[in-house]
Amino acid sequence: MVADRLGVGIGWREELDLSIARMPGVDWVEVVAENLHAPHLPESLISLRDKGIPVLPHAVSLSLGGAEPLETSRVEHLAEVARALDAPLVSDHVCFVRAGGLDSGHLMPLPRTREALDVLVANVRLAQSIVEVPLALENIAALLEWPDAEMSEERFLTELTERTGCGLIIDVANLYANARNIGTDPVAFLDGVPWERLAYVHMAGGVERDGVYHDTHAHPVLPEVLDLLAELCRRTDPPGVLLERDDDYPTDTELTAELAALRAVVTR
Amino acid sequence: MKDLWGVSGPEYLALHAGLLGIVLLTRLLAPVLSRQGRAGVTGQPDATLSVYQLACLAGGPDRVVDAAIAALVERGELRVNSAKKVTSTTTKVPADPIERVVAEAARSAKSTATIRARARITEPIRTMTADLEQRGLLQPVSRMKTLRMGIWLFSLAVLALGIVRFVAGIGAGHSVGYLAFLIIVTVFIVVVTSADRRKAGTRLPTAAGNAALGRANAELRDGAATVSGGVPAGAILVGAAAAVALGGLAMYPDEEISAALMPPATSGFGGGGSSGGSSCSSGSSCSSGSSCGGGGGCGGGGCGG
Repeated sequence: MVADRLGVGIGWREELDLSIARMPGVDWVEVVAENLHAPHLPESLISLRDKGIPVLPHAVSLSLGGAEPLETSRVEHLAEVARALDAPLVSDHVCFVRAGGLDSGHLMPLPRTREALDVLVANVRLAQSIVEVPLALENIAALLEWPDAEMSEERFLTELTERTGCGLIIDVANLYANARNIGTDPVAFLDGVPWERLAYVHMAGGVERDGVYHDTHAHPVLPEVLDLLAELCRRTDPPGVLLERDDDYPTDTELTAELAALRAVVTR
Repeated sequence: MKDLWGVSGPEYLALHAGLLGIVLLTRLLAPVLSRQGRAGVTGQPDATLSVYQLACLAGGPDRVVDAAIAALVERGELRVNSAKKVTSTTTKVPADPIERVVAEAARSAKSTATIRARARITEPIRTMTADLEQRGLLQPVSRMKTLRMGIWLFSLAVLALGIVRFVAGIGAGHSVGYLAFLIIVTVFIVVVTSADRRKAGTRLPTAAGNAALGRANAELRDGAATVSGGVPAGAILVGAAAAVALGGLAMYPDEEISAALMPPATSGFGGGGSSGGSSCSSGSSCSSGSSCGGGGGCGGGGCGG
């Protein structure tokens, strides 16, 4: 087990801070690390931490799969935020976000080759030497696949965890998005993932437009994604499940109902 | 040396200071004077006041907006965060016309101050104000306006007199040091009374309006369910809207939400911002707190994977 039991949580966003503090059924929160400065944490976040609610920083900019040298200052920032939040775990994604001095603005998928895995493993090991808590990495939603893949995504993640000891965040909505958009087999993925490395699970809403599923984080979680979470729960008892909502924030009642729906699936 | 205009220097200074005293005293007593001057208001205490009408009596249009914000926040249709950013959570259109204009304003405005600025001038709130005036519960704004204009003109006249005396004094070779100081003070007073003149005009309740407010406060305090008499829908004196209607945003039942909804205090002059003025009298509980200023709040917020 990579993480202690977390329960059901929600992505902490500044817009929701007072709502989250009042919402029933929030066992923990995850916060985007890049939005925080350790010496000036928002009062409302400090208050959650002080109430004993775990606050886990989640990075989006380490670019651990990038071919360029790891920007260790970003990892140091993540480590600093984790220290300030007294976080048991930090995370980022299996992706790259920079190349040739340009920032993609998106989480870009990695080619699933030995060479790319070697680069990722080296960067993850370096990052692990900087952060003082376990590091977990999340599968992303990809709109394209690089050609000449040498292994499946689940095999890629398995080897990554075996070689680095890192944990995994499985984003079920991303899994659904990949199945819809690039035809991956989510059941094969779930069958091949090393569940003992699971830190927690991400859930999010999205919408289908013009035959493409968009992982918007601005819509309700689809029933199909809840079904996929149930499929995951048949294989493992996830230590934590997190609802990500980044825009078009609905009422507290609706968010509470979404959290309750997640809880219902994982405790079924 | 011969006294200018037959009035000695010290005598003129005393006269000038006395005139300024009259300006300041009249300004101070303006609310009372405008109320007493209103003859013939015998409006019966109206038993059918809605929460928003009570808000209008207690604190004017801004208080009406605040009470509607409170109702919408309490129902979850608006959300406020600790950076004082107010956002809509739904596209649902409220049935109440006041709540509708406030919800509409909140779709583009992002703070209490900006929502007030947009909503206070809307038709339902203007109609409500006019209706309360017609029912003898709210003083007509014209009397207060006239009084303020009069105070300003009077202070201008005192300034003009002082300047003439100053120029004449120099011409006659008199010492004008003290007079110069008094003129500076007069200029300051003219600026203040001029700003008063431009104020949107805090409508004050009449005696009948104050009596209605007093009863509503007592009933809210005693936990009575409704204003006495037949009360229309929306007039129930419970919940955040009633607390804010009568006491201002400071009385929102959740302290953190209350602090988040209060516009940030701003200092400085002019701007002609909102007059948050609460009118306290006859047992109405008042919150302090000015209500000018622009919206705070910061954006940001990245996205996870």
